[in-house]
Amino acid sequence: MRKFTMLLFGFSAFYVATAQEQPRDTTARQDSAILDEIKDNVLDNIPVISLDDNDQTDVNSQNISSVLTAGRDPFFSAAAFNFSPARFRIRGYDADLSGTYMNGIPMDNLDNGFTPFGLWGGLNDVMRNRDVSLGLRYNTFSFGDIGSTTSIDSRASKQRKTTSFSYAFSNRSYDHRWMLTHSTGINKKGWAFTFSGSRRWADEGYVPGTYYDGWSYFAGIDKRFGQKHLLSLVTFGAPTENGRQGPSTTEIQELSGTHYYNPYWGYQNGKKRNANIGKTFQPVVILTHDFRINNNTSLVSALGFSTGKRSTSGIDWYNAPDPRPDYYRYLPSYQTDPYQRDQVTALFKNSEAARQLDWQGFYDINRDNTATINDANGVAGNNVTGHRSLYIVQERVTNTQKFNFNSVVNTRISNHADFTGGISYQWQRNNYYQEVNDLLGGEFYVDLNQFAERDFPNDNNAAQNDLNNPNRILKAGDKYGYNYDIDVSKAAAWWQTVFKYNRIDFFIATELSENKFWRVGNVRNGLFPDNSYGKSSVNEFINYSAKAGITYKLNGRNYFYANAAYITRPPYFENAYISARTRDVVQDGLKSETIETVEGGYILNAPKLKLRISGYYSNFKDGFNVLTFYHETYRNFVNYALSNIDKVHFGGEFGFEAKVARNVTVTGAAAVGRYYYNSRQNSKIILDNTAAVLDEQVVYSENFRVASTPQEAYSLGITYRSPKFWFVSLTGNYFDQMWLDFNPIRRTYSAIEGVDPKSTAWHDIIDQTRFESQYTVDFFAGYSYKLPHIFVDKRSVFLVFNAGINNLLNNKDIVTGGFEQLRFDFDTRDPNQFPPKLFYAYGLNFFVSATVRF
Amino acid sequence: MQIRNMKNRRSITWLSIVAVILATSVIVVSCNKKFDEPPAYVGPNITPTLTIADLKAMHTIGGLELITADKIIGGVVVADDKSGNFYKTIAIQDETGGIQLKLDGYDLYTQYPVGRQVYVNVKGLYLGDYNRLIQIGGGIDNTVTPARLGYLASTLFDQYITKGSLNNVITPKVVKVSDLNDSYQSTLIQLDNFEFAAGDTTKPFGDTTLTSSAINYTIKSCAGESITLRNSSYADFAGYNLPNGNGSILAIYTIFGSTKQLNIRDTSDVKFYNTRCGGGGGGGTGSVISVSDVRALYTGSDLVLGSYQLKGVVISDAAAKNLSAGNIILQDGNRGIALYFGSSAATTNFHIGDSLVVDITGGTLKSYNGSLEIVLSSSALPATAIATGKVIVPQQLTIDQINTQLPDIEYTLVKIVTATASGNATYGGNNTLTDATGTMTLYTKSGTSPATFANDPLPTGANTWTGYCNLFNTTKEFQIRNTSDVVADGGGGGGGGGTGTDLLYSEYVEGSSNNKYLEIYNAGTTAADLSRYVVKLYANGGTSITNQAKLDTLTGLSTLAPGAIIVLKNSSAVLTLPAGITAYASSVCNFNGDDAITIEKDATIIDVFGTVGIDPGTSWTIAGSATAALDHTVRRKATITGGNSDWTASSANEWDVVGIDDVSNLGTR
Repeated sequence: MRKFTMLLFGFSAFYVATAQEQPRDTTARQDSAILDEIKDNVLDNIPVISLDDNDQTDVNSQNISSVLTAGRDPFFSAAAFNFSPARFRIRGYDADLSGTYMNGIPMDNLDNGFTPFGLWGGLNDVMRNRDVSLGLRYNTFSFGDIGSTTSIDSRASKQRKTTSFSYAFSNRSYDHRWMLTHSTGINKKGWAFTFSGSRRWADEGYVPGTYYDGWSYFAGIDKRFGQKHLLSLVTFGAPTENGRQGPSTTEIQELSGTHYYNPYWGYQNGKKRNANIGKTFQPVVILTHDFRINNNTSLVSALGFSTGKRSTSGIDWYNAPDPRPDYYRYLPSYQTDPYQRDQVTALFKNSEAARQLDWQGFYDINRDNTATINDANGVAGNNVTGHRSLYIVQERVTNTQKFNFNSVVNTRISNHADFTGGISYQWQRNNYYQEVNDLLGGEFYVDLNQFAERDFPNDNNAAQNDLNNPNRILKAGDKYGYNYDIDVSKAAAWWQTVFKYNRIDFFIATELSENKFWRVGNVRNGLFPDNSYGKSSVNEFINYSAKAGITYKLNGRNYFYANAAYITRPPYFENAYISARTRDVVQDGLKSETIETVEGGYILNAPKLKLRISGYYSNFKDGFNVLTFYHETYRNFVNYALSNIDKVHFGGEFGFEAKVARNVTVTGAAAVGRYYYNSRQNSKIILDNTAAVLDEQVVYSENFRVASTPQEAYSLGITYRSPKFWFVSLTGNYFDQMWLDFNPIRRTYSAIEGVDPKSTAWHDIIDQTRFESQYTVDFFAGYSYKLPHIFVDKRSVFLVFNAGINNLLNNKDIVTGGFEQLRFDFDTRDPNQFPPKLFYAYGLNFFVSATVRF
Repeated sequence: MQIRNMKNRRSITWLSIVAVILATSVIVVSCNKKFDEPPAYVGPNITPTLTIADLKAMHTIGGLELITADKIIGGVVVADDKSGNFYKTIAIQDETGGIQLKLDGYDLYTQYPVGRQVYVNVKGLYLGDYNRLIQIGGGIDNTVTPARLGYLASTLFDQYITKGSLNNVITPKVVKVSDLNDSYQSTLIQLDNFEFAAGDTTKPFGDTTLTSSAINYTIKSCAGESITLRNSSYADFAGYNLPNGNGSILAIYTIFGSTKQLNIRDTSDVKFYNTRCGGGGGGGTGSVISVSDVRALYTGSDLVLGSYQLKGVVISDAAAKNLSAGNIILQDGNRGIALYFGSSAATTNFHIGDSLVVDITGGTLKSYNGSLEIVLSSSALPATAIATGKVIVPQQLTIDQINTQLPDIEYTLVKIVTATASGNATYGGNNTLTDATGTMTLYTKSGTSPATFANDPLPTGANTWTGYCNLFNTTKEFQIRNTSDVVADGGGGGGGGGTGTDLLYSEYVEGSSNNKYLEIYNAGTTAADLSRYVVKLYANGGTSITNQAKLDTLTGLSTLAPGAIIVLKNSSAVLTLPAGITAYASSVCNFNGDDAITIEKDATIIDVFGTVGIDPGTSWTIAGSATAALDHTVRRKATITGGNSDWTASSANEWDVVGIDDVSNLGTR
């Protein structure tokens, strides 16, 4: 009975073989493994997009947040896979509500709660042992997040003894990939080794001007000591560089004739150069000790360390025209004179150069500009004259150090009760700074804040980014602008007890944690000399969470369950600090967010039909957020500090898998949800340069939709699995209730002041944009061929081929992300002056691969 | 056996392949290829096919003509937008004349700086005039009536304008006003022996409140000619005061209707350094030398100076007497020096912020008790300042930094934060100033001619100190100018508070028509740093700010002494105020009885008149009077010594209501 429950939830034993007699089955399923591989490939190659106007440094937070998993729950596998291209998020939850563990270590970033999947990109071969727990269900390795919690076991002794080499060809973010993996399995002396390496690259990806260059490596060593101890060490990393894609407005997409217009590149000496380059390399080391104390008790302890940089580049400029080719003043819509509008339209339509970055122009202007910097580098009388760059390529760097300790004990108290408890300590330091990457033909750049210079023309100190090193002359490689650390720590303890009886299983779990974060300024900002340098006060939060659930087993096939949780969690620093770049001031009344959530459902597990139907209701209270943007009325950058952000998510999920004929399976999934903001948010508008509070406003955000995910998604697929080791599969997907992320500034009284209520103009300002429903059709096929009479080390040699075509009907109208620009003109009150910027999903795209494995 | 060997060998091969690939990965990733740099821009050599004069001749005043001739004009940029005095406009000129180009972009100087040769393919562009000033534009702007010449869209610049060589020099044509005619339009000219009207010389170039987008001044020559100088209030020099002397001016000649106008590119075009027509102002005839260069002349022994003029801004306060009679401290850039005109010289005529040009010819440069000083005769003291109200921003330094940087920073304005004074009970004599980094001497004149504040109690606790340093032999000394230089440190966002310590509204006048005033009183015991205070008006129960004014920007004052008062007024207020009372016009005085006005310090409300977000109808009820805030003057009771953010309590108890248009008490409390 218990065994069935396990299967239904897609659980298999984790570390704790004694407590659960369920055998690991990764090595057993041959053709479903092929399908999983395709799924991995598809998810691995979904493009990186930025989801907000600020385009902050955190590359990984923009990564696809999909759970890289192949759960066997029929709903979940559809959601994680078929719905991913439309950026579907399970239950509409943000990525921080799902957690990932590897070899016993929590892998989530403490700064934003996201799982940095990119750190092990390309290492699919060794990351395939995964356990996923969905929703509020308990698991045996953590208290768990409310979305999903995944445990990846990449230890060498858990890898099947195998050697494989694969090559894949695609037309997505990257075109080519090879992967090479060798696992020895555990030998008689208790040693096991695994090595894996891969490279993924494209000179130009699906989107013009993008490129990809990623390497990955993995090495794992296991040593078993006696029957009780297993010590594992893994280290891996994925140095990756990619030219990025930018969102754009409908106008420029129409002028360029494609939804995949990319404003980030331009020609330099006849070659496409992308200004927006993401780089990541944060190697990870994990040491795990697995201790079977006795037949009923096991203890898994792990230490993890990770360090490295990620960065995004872009063009920075100083008292010079905006370099962005799609800047609104350059576009036809800005022209009021039809005679000139026609000329501009013709130019944009006919000249690719006009639509893209003008690298030659940046070099020309920098070389032609001569300036004298008085008292350079803070040395009185040191006047430096030369070609001062007005345009540079800057890198916004995040240098991260992360340390984790986690220890979990599992023990069987009685035949009816299992106890799990854990303690963990996590610490992370992110150092954020800007660096000059390329002076573009000039001789130097100066560490000055041009906006402060404009606002305080008589105050030489105000414009200094670093008062301790005023008027610093910058060369390529120098840090400038902001430079600060955010330290975050979390110490937690949790326990759970699971009771199991013939008809009823139930569990209860609680967690207690202490969360701290603080800021350390490494430069003294001229605008805020007293609040920018050194360590800030520590923000501390004590948080507690509890959850409980019950499963009623009608018989071996029919199950009913209900779970509930109450969670408090601290705000993330990026929503707490009003402007972490310049000062250490946090929002007023900072407090923990509370989450109340319940779920319940029915599961059928018959031989020919697997089915799950479930419902959930989640309430989020007291969220915070900070936006920074150029305010038209104040003619300056402002920080928009939002508080009292409440949300409610409710809906139903349905999934089934039916064997309709011999070798033919039909799968279906439906997610119907409604995700609303259900409070009027409070906003405080703060001038970025002076910290003056300009205004406090109410954001009329009640019943606005949570954006960036379809709230309804459906899929229906049919798969034929031949006994001759091949299969084909065809799936249709339909997405609806997709909404554009809204700009809170437009939902305030001041935005509609004087506009006729209920008029078209009024609706244009405040109504939220809904996208048209969309569909896709996907095709997959795979074939596994065993080479006859050829053996390596007594093992058969297989050739595995698989192919996937996503979006077979080449639908290029699927909006996968976007945002309303935060800029809003309070004079014209025309929201179309700064129209939304959008990303679209790829049209027809494919992925084919061939693998040799023995 | 054979098979087994094969197997081992194969494993080894695999392992080595893995190792090689890993190593290669690291190597390949660690070397990033640099992008090839494009070649330097070389402007083409184009021969213009049309002169600017001929192009201008195609235009009929008042008309808007599409240019159909396939011609190219060439010219050198003589005005760009770098200072902001020209906006979205550049002027180019060739041998035949000049013309303005209306270009829809900012920072045009990055592409079309003064001195750049440009070629304009005029076919497809438009000719027009702005009240007779002929311009080239991109089209017709129909958003205004009558239609005007439109700016050329920035996207189209490169279609019409070709950039040529840089750093071409155009020599201004020296002219008389009577010579000026339309052929000079948009060309660089020079007028000699001009000056501003005496009454204008304390005014800034533009209007920094931006009430007027531009300001016209009339400049006159000694020969009696006059012409209008028009300055944009958006120019980055708009806040600088006009120079007081006489001299040459370089400018672009423009016209507005029949008015002849000049537009400068930057203040360096106004070379009014010499003595005014009737004498006074300006300086002598020697060449201008910087303070830095004068200091460099000193090599250890006294030196008689050659023919020089020294320029600088007064940072000393002779009236407060914390320096010897006859001394003035001048700062020029980041260097300062003491001047001594003899103990009977009228140095009190000059105040902090006055810009002086001093003829130091024949003066003696010497080390006086360890600090550099120029000794001059009393006749060398200028009659007037060439400008007033110049702001020298003190350099914020720690005591340790000061001790290290002396004597270089001698006699320059510095600011020391969070420093505590100790020693005597009063300022007079030597005290000790201590901050986190070290200590130094705080010296205040005492004895026979003491500083006016020598017997004031020495402030306790941490303060921010502004003043200058010098050496007294080997002792490093810091001196304040007056007690406004000492400001108590803020409470660090949350401290402070308390009553009797800060600004408050002391009088409110809502009189007939636009006669509206506000009086703000410093009830504190230390000078208030006005950059921290903002007055905000919330009209008609609104919760968003209707108007606001930062007090230092509005008044031009950096501090408000204890017991001192600021009066604000509606810009249309006309009542006669008590003698000597200045009222600053501000839109926060656009109230009419039912509006809330707050005063905020560091974004925290410290006093209110009315409650934000509430509209009482026509008037607030004050002291039981339901119409008190309308057509009345309302005075804060003298017993009230602190602000009150609770209007309900404040309105009931803290105010007296008097008659309409009663301003007799404005400016005093």
